[in-house]
This record gives sequence, C-alpha cells and structure tokens, in this order.
Amino acid sequence: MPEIRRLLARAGVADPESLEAYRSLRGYEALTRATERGPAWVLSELEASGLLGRGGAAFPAGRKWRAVAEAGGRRRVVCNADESEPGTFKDRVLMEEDPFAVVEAMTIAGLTVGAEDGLIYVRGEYRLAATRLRQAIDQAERAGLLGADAAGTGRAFRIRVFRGAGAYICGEETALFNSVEGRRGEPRNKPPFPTQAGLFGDPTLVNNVETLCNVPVVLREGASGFRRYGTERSTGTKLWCVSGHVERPGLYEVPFGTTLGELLELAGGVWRGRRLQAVLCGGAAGTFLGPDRLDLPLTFEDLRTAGGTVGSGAVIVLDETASLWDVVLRVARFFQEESCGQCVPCRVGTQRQLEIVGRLASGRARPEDPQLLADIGAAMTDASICGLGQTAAGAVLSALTLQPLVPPSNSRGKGAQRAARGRPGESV
Amino acid sequence: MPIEPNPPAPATEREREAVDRAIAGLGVEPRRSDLLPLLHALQDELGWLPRGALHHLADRMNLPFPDVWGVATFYALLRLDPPHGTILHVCDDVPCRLRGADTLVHDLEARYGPPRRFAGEAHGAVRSGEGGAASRAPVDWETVPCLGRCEEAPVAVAGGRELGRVTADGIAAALRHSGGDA
Amino acid sequence: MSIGIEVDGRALEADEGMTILQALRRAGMDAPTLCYHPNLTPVNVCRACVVEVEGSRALVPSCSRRVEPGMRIRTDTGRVRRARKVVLELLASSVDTSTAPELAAHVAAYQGDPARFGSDAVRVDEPLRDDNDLYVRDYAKCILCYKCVEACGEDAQYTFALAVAGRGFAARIETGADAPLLESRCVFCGNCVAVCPTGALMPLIEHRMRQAGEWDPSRQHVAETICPYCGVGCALELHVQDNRIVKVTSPADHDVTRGHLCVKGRFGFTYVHPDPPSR
Repeated sequence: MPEIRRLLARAGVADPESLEAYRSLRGYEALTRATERGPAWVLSELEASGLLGRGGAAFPAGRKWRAVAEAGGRRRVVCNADESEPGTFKDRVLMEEDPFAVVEAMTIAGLTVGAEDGLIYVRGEYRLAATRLRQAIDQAERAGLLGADAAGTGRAFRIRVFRGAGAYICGEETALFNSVEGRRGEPRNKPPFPTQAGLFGDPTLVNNVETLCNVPVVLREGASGFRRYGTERSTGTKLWCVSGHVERPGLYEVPFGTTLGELLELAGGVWRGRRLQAVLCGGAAGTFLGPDRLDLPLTFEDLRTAGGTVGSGAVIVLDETASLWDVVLRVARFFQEESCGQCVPCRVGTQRQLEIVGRLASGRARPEDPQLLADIGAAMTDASICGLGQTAAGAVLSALTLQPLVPPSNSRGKGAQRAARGRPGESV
Repeated sequence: MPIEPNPPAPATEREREAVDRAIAGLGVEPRRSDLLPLLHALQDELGWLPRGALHHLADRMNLPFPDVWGVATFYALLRLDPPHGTILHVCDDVPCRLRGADTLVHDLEARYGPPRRFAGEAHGAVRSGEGGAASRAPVDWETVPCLGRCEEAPVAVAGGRELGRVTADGIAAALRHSGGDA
Repeated sequence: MSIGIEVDGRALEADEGMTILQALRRAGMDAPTLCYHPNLTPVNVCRACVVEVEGSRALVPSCSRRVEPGMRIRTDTGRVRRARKVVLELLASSVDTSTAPELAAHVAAYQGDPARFGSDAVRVDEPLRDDNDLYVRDYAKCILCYKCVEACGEDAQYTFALAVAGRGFAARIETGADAPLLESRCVFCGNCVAVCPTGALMPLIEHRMRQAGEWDPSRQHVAETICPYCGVGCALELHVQDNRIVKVTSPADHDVTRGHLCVKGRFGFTYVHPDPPSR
C-alpha cells in the first residue's frame, strides 16, 4: 500500500513560519467550516469519523470532545505534545513542519467545546517545535484567528505554549496537569477523569498532537471522506515512526490496515540485506513482534489481538544481529529512570525489573527470574496508578516469549557484556 | 551519625536579580503555575539553579522551599549544580543504540570520562557534581533517553546544537565550534 | 443516602460518598493498608489495598475510590492476591522493616517472601539523620507513604517543612536540599512522627532506648490525661515504662486532636522527671 500524505501534506512543502503558505494549502478551511456550521456539526462529524486518539490510549476523540462540550463551567483545551516515547518523533515533525495545523485544530477544539484557554505542553527538549508554535500563535493572533474575538466568532480563544523539563511521565495527562500547576509531575488517581476535573480542576479536553492534526482533515473531507482510508474500526491514516535497522528510517503516513511488512518495505526493508529479528512496536511501552508477524495489518484491533499495541506509533526494527536483551535492558532502564516514584509497584517494580533484566542480559539469569519478572509485571500492570507502570513490563515480558530465559550466545552483544560488569542501573 | 551541615545558601546578588527579573517578566504577581516557566527562565540565564536562587524564588512566590526543591529535583533538564563544561546530551536509547550509540558512548567515555547521572536519580542533587575526574573534564556530558530524532540516529545535543548521524569526532568538532575546548 | 453494592458476591449497603475501604470495614471485611490514615487525605500510593471493580481494567485502590450504585467488587481473586502480595514483597525488599510490624504482618498474611528478589536487590540506602533533640529520621525505613508530608502540610499542621524530592526509586522525603531540621521550616510538632507507619520517624528517646536495648513495650502502660499546657484540652496518652514517661501520643479518634499535638504536648514532658533520660 502506498504512502498517503494527508497529515503530512504540508510537511517539507509549505514554509512552516508562514500563515499565508499554510492558507494556500487548505489551511484554515476546516476552521471556516466549523464556524459556519457550528459545534453540533463538528461533534457529529468527529464522532462519525471514528477518529481514535493517537497518543496511545485510542480513546474515541468525538466522545471526549462531547464530554467536555457538555460539561459545565470553565473548560480548557490541552494539546499533549510531550512526546517522549522512545522511538517516537511524529509529533515533533508535525509541530516543526506544520505548526499552524496544531493551532487551527486547537482553535476548532476551543470553539467547539466552549473553552477560552488552550495550552500546548511541549516536551522540554523540543526547542524548535516550541519556537515554531509560538510563531504560529503570534501570526494567528495578528490575523484575528486567536484572541478576544477568535476567527470573528465573538468568542475568545487563546493558546499558550508551556515547556516541559525532562520527564516522560508528564505525557500522562494528569501528571501533565500537575506539572503545569507547578507541582511535581506525579499522576493523579482517576476518577475524576480530565473531562470532569482536569487542569486547575476544570473540565479539560486533552488530545495528542497527531489526534488534533486529524481534526481539520475530518472537517475538510467530511467523516466519510476521512474514512476513505483505514478500516472500519481504525479509521484514517496513521503516522509510523520507523527507526533502527531499516534502510530509510523516517516518518511514514499510511492507511490503517497496511501490514507491518508493507511498512517496513516503505522504509527500504531491513538494512544491509539482513533478516528481521523483531520489531519493538509502540516504543518502550510497546511489545516485541517476531518476523512471523509481517502480515499483521497495523490497526488498533489487529495489534490488540496480537498482544501488541499501536501505542505512540513507534516501530523499532531489530535485525538478526541485534542483541535483543541489550535492547530490553535499555527499555528496563528507561522505566526505572522515568518512574515518578509515587506508587510502590512502579517505583520498586521498575527497579527490580531492571536488576533482573540486567542478569538476563549478561547471562547470569537465576532459575527464579522468569517467575519474578512475571510477578513483578503482573503487579505493575494491575496495581500501578498510571499507564507508565501499567505498561512498564510489556516489552520485557514479550521479549521472554520471543527468546527464552538464557539468551543464546549470539545475542550477547557488547552492550550485554558491559552490563555484566556494571551495576544494574548504570549506563551500559 | 551526624550529617553534614547543609544550611540554606543565601542568594548572590546576581541570583537575586535573575529571580526578580524573571518574575518581573511575568508582568503579574507569580502564581504557583508560573513555577516551571520561572525555573526554565532562571536556568536559561544562570546556566543552572543555584540553591540560593531557589530560596529567593520560593520567598518571592510565597511557596515553601521544600516544594520548590521537590519540583526542581523532579525534572531531568533542570540542573542543581553548575555545569563544569560545555553541556553534551547523547541519546543512548533503543533506536540510537541500534545505530551505534553504544559504541559512541564508549568512545566519549574514553575522551571525557564517565557521564553524569540525572541528579534526581542520585537523590540529593546536592551530592551530584562531586564526581572526580569527570567534573574536571571540559565537557559536562550525560546519556539521555530518546530525543525524538530517531530518523537521524544516533543523535546528540552539543552546546545546544542538535546533531544527527553523529560520531565522537563530529561531537568534538561541534564542541570546539560552540566554545568548549574539548 | 444508602446505595447498594456487591462485594465478593455479597450484597452490601454503603453510604453515598463512602470509600470502598470504609464500606468493607463497616461490613466487617478489610484490605491491607499502609499509606491510608483515617485523618489524612488518601494518596493511594502504596497500592496494598487494591480490589477488582467490574468494568475497570486495572485494579482499584479501595482507600480512595468512592462507592457507586451497583458497583461490583471482588477482594479475594487471584489477581488481587497476587498484586497485593507482590506489592508488599517489593516494599519489604526495599527498606529496613525492623520497626514496621504492620508491614511485616501484611507480608506474612500474604505469604510474601521479600528475600526472593535476591540478597543483592538494591535497597534504600540512607544514613540516619540524627540532628536535633526531639526526633530522628531514618529514611532507610521509609516507604514513601506521604503521610508525614500530609500531616506537616494541608491535612494538619500547615507548616510545609516536608516534600518529596527526586524521582523514581531515588525519590525521598526531604526538608529541601536536605537541610537539617533546625534549619528547615520544622516546628517540631512531631505530627509526622505520629503518623509514620514504619518507624522511619521516631522520637529521640525511643530511638536511644531501642539502641540501648531498653525499649520494651511489654513493660509499658498507657496513662490517659489532658495536656496541662494550654486551654485547648488535647487528650494525651502517656506511654510509661519503669515509672517514666517514654513517649506521648494522642488518640487518632479524639475529637480535639485527631491524633495531632504541638511540640509541647508531644515532647515537653521531660520536666516531669528530675533526671530525664535524654541525650
């Protein structure tokens, strides 16, 4: 299946610092339609489009928008641009290359759900993205598309850019709220859900960058036009971040339903003519898929059935020479370093998981280790407060199914041998 | 066992001014939700977050110092001790490792000594930065999680410059360019 | 208003606004708790009290989740038992539990084996902070239940001398840049000591007596009285060993104190003895 450049239509084509360039490529058409036809139309199109959230949880966007629209009192719109999932760069590209699309989509969201305050929480490392977004907001304000009378609707909507400071956990929406409120980025217990009590306690619509960028497409093409690509339950196109051992790592937009093999072919296939060992799909919070999964259609439903996840859209490719356990060890260290430390299963579980994976990666596994990993994984998945702890064992446990306890000697690469000398938790 | 005395450090004149200026830049009385933007502004100006500046900031914001400290130690990009050289962040996350970051880290270790660890990890950001040889190297470097530029792996940020498909030699050149005498 | 819920197949009546834990306890059932305290806002971080709630993907902390009409709850499934057991093992494997009988009892009740993570499992490694005349802080025993932070802050004292600093396994309770208590905001009310479930915070007298092998609860009795210092009328429990007051507490269910005291009530008793066994 070929690439479809719908979300990426302007990326690399239009000057990202020019409102005029944006407008000349169908920019702000969707906002015009939205203001002409009103919030009820926007909500029904969005619901009919079947758009599911692209941040990892795959929640129906229309239902979320409606929940906030129907909430009382002051409401807020937050764009979650704290993209930090290892192997994920799609939101960065969208913000850097098409910042006005984010601004337009947020404006539609604000006017539709009845919010006056929009906030974009941009990952601290993404300086260029933050700069481009600020420029876009400034130009939109000067053009009357934001401000006290946004797009001539007589209603106010403003957006500010808020920079994170290096914490994966702040991509969790309630941790994001705490971070903005000047507190430690520790997740809150849910319920209440953000649509009920979010940022500063107000009902809040939180959408990922890619989710938002789909909204103008839905409104321009109409729900049925949007559904022209994708499957019945996974509608539209999806951005996949293909990295690792492929010839052409990069961002690829394809319809949902494209198979894993087709996606890898787009990226030039496994590099250096080598064979595929595994794909880490969904980033650190994802799972490993073996070479027997190349025919798997990439959809929310098929990946779920296969025990995987769309997650953030990261597809990290390992060729036959890669050290699987070296990769797993890095994933385990990631979670140990990024756990906020609030709840016990995640705080101690990610530490213990790192210690055990350190043993496995260096060929010092103990007989009880698989059981320990299974128990820790179950406790983290079932009892952690938030998605970080709930997904922290996924890659580790799926690696165990791909490669049994004692890694064969060919997977004990340099990294694993060095890990054997270092204390778990130290850089390897 | 007695612990080392660790009294509140008074802010230097420069630190006080930096805090006051950052708050003035808000144009309104600071609210708690201004904390992270103010910490960013302070670090941009001072290069790190001296304890005295944090005390003064807490006073000006009418926040308890432990709360400000708790927030400052939460984020990996906030520095609680002075950088001893040009700052270098090297991604060693999965996509970059698959494209040679492990070798790169090894080479950099040979040149600049072991990387520093995120202070919040080692508790007491107060204790970090005491490292031996590393603290005398002209490059203050650490390995970091995925920087979100995996299509150009391996990647690094040297003295604020983003580098893709990078090598140890490329990093050294970029550091020379940014003023580090590496 | 009364609402109907179902727990382990049994129909129960609960009051609207009640937590699952409160409903369980009223019905004579229970769940293990560590970070829960009746007078503090539930932070639901220890996750020992988790239960299964129908329709919920992950397990649910019973200490903070409020009951809803028709809620179907299971407290004794394999999933619940496994999660609780492992959570308790993880905690016990990471800290010194020598003065945490509550935690040890929970671990035993779930047949937990904290040693199975190996003798090389990393533990919280912190020196004893013995920096004032009234209480010590031994964070090697701290399970990060947040109770001290809450008691010091909005739930009781409004002093805000404590907060969590750092992140992940390295997260710690802190005075801010690890300042000694005398240079911190601490007013030495000891309300943090009173709510600490593991002995990480301990009155200095008890700490010294334990070190000397003299602390012996079996030789202690409790005398109830009213604090003599001011007119508030705080209830005191004087813990007396060998005819000496060795500790003062206040009942958590007392109307006036809710277990909290001030520095005088909690620590100002040594004048009773001509030669106080202090430092």
